[in-house]
Amino acid sequence: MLGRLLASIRKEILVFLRDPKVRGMLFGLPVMQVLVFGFAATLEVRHVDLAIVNDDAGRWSREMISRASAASFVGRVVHLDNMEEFSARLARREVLLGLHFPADFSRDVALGRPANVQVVIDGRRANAGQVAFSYMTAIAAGLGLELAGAEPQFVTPPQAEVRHWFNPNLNYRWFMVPNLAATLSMVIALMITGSSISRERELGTFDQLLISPSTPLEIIVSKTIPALLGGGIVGILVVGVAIFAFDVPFYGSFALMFAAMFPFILSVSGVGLLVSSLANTQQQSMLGVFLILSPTIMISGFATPFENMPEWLQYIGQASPLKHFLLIVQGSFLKSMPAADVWSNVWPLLIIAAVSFTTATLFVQRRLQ
Amino acid sequence: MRRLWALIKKESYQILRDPAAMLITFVLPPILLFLFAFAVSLDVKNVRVGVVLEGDGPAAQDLAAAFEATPYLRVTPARHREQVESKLVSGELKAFAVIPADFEARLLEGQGRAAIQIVTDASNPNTSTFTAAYMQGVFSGWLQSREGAGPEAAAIRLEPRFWFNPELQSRRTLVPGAIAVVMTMIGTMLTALVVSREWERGTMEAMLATPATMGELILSKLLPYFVLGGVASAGCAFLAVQVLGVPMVGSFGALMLISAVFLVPALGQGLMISTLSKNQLVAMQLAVMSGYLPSFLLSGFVFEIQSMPAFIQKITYIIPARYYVSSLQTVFLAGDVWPLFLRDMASMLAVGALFFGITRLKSKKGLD
Repeated sequence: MLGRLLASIRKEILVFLRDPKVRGMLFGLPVMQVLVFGFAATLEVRHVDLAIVNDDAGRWSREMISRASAASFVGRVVHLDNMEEFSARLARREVLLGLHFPADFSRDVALGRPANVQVVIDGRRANAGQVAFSYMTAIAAGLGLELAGAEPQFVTPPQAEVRHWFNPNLNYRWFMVPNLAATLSMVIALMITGSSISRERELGTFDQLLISPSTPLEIIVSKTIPALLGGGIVGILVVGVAIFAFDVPFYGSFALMFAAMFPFILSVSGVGLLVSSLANTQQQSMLGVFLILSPTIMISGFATPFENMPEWLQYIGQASPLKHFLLIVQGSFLKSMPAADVWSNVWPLLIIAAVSFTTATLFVQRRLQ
Repeated sequence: MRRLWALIKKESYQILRDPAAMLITFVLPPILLFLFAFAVSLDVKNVRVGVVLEGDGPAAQDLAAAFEATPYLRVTPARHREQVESKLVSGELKAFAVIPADFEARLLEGQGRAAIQIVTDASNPNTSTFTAAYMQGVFSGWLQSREGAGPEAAAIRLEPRFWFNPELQSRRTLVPGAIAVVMTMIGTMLTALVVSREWERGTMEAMLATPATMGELILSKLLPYFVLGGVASAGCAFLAVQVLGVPMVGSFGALMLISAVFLVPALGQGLMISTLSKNQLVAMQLAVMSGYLPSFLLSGFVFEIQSMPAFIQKITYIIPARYYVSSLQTVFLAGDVWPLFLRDMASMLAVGALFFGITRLKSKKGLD
């Protein structure tokens, strides 16, 4: 029995590696995707356009404007005469935000009174606007502090000191690129298993499997091996790109992370085989994979935090293997996550793998009979 | 004309019978819209944070109570830093504030000295920025509300005004973006899949042998999808406004016009992909890579285009969804801003002309 299993595993690996399209999918595409999405997918805010409407002729508005213009989150600075002109520009999306200094701004600053600046932000770009606003707040606070240090009549309130652990410079790529390693590994494993059975059915070789002495479990196991191989290779490749090309620090344990990758790919493969056993053509299975992939990625916390979702959706999200593995990958890269915390994310993966595998085996068995 | 009509009828029947087309047009769009409305949220709320109260002074306790009373934070109280530090590693907490034992003394001293410390889990930098800003807001709000807090501080106060989306619901900006993703699926992915299947099965060649001209054939293939796309955009707009609570400040006519113009480059891209690949699996992958993924990663509704590196910003110029998202967000949230619409529509038509031009060049070669 073991010999038979080994033989069919060998066949699957050969089929898998012989296809040039598969080889391209394995090595070319993921590297390209990491490079494009790693650079593009950022929630940081840089080079956004700022408009200035200055009704104040004094020194302090000029000081504030020159500090804002020099900040790295600001790109082009447009000086406008009045708010009507500004609102037209904002409506046409030509600027993200505008600063409006009232006429008595500098006088208020000089007298030690609170001086107000209106910051008008395009709500269509709510996230970038909020981030830009928080940067602007830091600039205003910095100017306020310096005023207090320079001139004794000013009083400055006590401050809150902020420390960002694990990623002190808030580099968004340190978050996104490790996430891509997990996600791309899942995409590959799903695509390989998703088309494995439907492909045989379309080519007519599935009938040959039917008359072979292999049991459904053996078929399932041998069809999982290429996915483990492919998903594993892509995962390792992208982790390498993250560390060497994007300089993401890795503080945790490689051994723990790659050990956790095994149940992760296993649970994904079970889902892929299930889709494949239900589909009659490759096109159907590709669409099925696509139908599963998008929601799984969206509810996993890949781009936006899991905790922001409503509670009922968080319960559903527990069924997404990516959700658990993302925590392991993020933890291993930046937080040097201890084994106990890794384990608390591994056992859900084991449960998902057990469920998806049992279901897939049952379905293949039904298809065989 | 009658020949064209007959061809269109034939293609329409074919679409209605195709389960893949029905799946992409009627099942996926509502799923995607709901996911973008509920799952993909950038609104930070109910953040789990720790508050470490190291001393027992009345001011310290009052501040801790202020943190707990904040509706957007879910506070885990602690007495020592060690109790919360490991929870930051495991991800149970997203941030914690430390109110030190000598908090009262630091408060009196004033002059910009750090009175409390806020530590965030920056493994997700975006959440970390918002959480820190929020906790700082709680602290400064508490300072201002204290009785006898002394003279008002000299400070530059920023008054934020978020136009078009005053409540800052990320859903209002994401759902219009999701409509662009849905329309890209129908316009590009579906067309690419179906037309490449015709090439693969050889039915395209069979059609070319009929008296119908190439122009008629292509028109008859694309028109049904054009109608399907129009129906889908109206359906999506209905869902967005009636179910998902997105306002509709602009006019419905403008929305339909923009969507119709968007379908030109979207269909052109689908046709181009199928002509270049003539193979279903390759077409599917190309459509996902060049249509579906860019429509939400590079179109600017989740990730800000101006923040991307210059070479990726250049790529976004040939992504039709980029212009569509800009106009969609405007028509839903800001109103009919015609200068913006005209600019976006001109860009979409230009990209569409490029795609159709490439298709024409390539399909001529294929026939020789």
